[in-house]
Amino acid sequence: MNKPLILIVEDDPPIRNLISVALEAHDYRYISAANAGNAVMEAASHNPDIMLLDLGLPDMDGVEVIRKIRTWSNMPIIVISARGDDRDKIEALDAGADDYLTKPFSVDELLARLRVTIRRLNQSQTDSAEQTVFTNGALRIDYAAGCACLNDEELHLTPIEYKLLCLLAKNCGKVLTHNYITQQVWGTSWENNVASLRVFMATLRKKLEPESGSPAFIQTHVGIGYRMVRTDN
Amino acid sequence: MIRSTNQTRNEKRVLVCLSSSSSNAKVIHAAANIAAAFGGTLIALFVETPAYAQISDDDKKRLRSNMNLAEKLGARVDTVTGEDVAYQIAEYARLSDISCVVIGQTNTVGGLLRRKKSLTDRLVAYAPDLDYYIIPDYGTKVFYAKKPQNRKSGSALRNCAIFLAALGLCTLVGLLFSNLGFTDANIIMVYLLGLLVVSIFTTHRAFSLVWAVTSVLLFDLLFTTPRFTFYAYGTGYPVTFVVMFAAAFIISTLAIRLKQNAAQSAKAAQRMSVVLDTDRLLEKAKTRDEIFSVLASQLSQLLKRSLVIYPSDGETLLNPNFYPAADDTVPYRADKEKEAVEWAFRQHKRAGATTETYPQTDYLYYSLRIQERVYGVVGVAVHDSPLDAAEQGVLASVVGECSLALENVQNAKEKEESILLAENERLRANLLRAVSHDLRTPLTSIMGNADNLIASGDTLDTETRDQLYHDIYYDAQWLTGMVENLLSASRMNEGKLNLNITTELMDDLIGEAVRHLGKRLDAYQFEWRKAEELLFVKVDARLIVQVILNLLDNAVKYTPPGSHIWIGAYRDGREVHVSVEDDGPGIPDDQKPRIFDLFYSSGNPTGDSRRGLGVGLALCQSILKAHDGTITVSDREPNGVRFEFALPEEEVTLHE
Repeated sequence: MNKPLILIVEDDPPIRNLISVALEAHDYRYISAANAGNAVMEAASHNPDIMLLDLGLPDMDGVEVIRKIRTWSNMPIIVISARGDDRDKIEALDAGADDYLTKPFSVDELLARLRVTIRRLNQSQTDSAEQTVFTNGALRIDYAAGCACLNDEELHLTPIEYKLLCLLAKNCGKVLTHNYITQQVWGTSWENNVASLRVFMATLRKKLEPESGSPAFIQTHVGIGYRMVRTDN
Repeated sequence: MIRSTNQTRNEKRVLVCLSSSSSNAKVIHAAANIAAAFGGTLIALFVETPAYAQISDDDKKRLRSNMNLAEKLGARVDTVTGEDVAYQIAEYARLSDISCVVIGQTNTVGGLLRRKKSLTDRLVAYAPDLDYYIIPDYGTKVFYAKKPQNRKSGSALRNCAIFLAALGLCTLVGLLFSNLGFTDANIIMVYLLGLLVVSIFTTHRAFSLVWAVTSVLLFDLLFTTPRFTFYAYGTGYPVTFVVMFAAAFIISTLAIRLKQNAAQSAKAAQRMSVVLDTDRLLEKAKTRDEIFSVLASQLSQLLKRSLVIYPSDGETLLNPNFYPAADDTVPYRADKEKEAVEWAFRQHKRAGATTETYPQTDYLYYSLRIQERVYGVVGVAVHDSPLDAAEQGVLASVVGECSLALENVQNAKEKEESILLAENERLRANLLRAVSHDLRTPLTSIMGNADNLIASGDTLDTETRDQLYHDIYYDAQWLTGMVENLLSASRMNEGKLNLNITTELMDDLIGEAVRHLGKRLDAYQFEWRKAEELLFVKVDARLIVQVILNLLDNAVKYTPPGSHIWIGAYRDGREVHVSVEDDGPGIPDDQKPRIFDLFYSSGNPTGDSRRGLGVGLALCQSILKAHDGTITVSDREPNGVRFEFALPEEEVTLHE
């Protein structure tokens, strides 16, 4: 894949400048927009590979921008939000954003998120759409056979654990909110189910990551949700 | 309640005696005027005598309206029970520090031989040092205990049976004695014994009197010579008859009084025990709802009537709770009662049935209040049987006790809230001070360093420039941490209700904090001892992450690079504990008690230095307090410090 094109949507010039400088220093191509209207236009005309979207824009709610973009494009969207409430992040993720960054963030953090997203883009290009087997490092899920293996040993998962694992695998790299996961697995999102989700996630992780040194397949985002990360080299 | 004696001495207390007499109203008005003239308080007293139970319904109604009148004129209405009205009034006056008594003179006992001592005369004899105001009261009907008119036929039959059985038995024994040759005196004794039995076991005096006549006649007929005639030759016999009759009269009177007294004292004892029980139960009741349920159970026990209780939030009445009596089948009609309830609530007075306000309702309402604060309204079913004076007295006292208990609960709650508010206010004020004072130092450093780089970046050597870059980065990082703490503190200030409480896995929270600290831990030998079991807590995740972050941050700040830092969670009983340890220099014992204080910073007691600005640990402590948790500090062996916090463990039920 060629160098990906990144669209920076940020109304604050110093922050926009900061991101531009960081991207330039690491050889990324980028374009930028200072408001939501321009962002949608730039996204439509340049068809960027990744979008970095600040949620606090002057002319339109960032979540609205995500909904608009999602009507025609599946490009990964990383939202940038000011620290405080998790609700805006959750809303953005539920609207279709893939990942989030919280201000203040370090340049390292920004670059790490971009690397994760680019790897995911590359992976999805090589993967065929109707894939029946999912692999991620030592983890292998055979959707057709309905089983998962770690290091070629079958994992003994409960039905719910398997359902959760498949859901995360199919959205590998994306942060899934508690609400989204409980909706998908139980069909409802009661507080009780969220508590149950913690338990199932914990037992699933114990099976996937049996030793403390094992690679982490699942990231916990406290107050937000979970994400499966690529562990391939 | 303890009243200052001076106050009571200065204040005149006027006592007016209530009765069912229609002219009593005049007396009450007069008393109210006297009280007003003295600027004193008016107390209306009704003495419930044993005979009260037998007075007619009209009299009862008059008595009630007199009570209402007294109340309307601002009197405190009280009821005492006793046989001797004068003595009860005198005793009450003595105990209640009454200075003057207003009483109506019902001058009707214009006796033939000698005037009977009037109530006033006796009262003066009992309490000579009181002031008396006697309101003449001529030409009005005086209330006497009316003879009970309608006895249940069942009890009449029973009385007759007792009477006839006793009469038969006495006559048989008398005949036996006569045959055995005993003297007449013995037979008379037997009849007297029979009289005693009949007086005690029948409910009406008539039986005793009939007994007296019958027994004299029977004695005459059967035992005096000539036998079987009503002639008596012995000169002493007429005297026997008279004595017998007089004895019958006196004994029956005494027996009836005995029974009435027994019934009355049993009732009084029951009321007293209800009042005492109420005190005891209220002592245990800690919440408003508990107090209301005490009120309901005590009043049901006391009155055996249906109850309705409207709790209040201080502004409006909430939905009522019903406590129907077992035999009450009349449904509660909220629409009919509504106005009376509202009136009792707004006007802080009783209302409803048997009062002058909304008398058409089925219930009598009392407000639960202390001064201007109303905690609710309690309604007692009246239907067609009004409460008697003593019942009203005890009802008022139970209601008063409950109001007081509600007031205490409310006061305790308000006190707690104000303490919390003050605590929050203190935290906020201190944080503001922190913002205005302590944030300046890093900002000055950032601005100054950036200034230097802009102005003379080219001329500085690489090493100096690098130092400036790092200083800026370090200060910005410090500011970030500070802002996080301030944000958490402001959320804490918004109160417990605004916390976003969810069930969280403790290891997730630790992981989040560790991830947040990121590269700063790289220079240390950091070890996370993960728990074997799943430890759940019900917390605001952000705030607990902040606690862990602050503890780890402190460990990084106060120990040299290369030191060990350990974190681990474990279960202890019903609590989840998290410990953060390091093998750094530790904290001297004399500083330990103060490290949780705001702005306490180790080693830098004064000056502008921002290092160790003591917000972090103080915040940790208030966050844990808000989660019913604790935080402690101790020495780690052989060196270093150990912070540990504990939170209640949460159980999770699985939904498969």
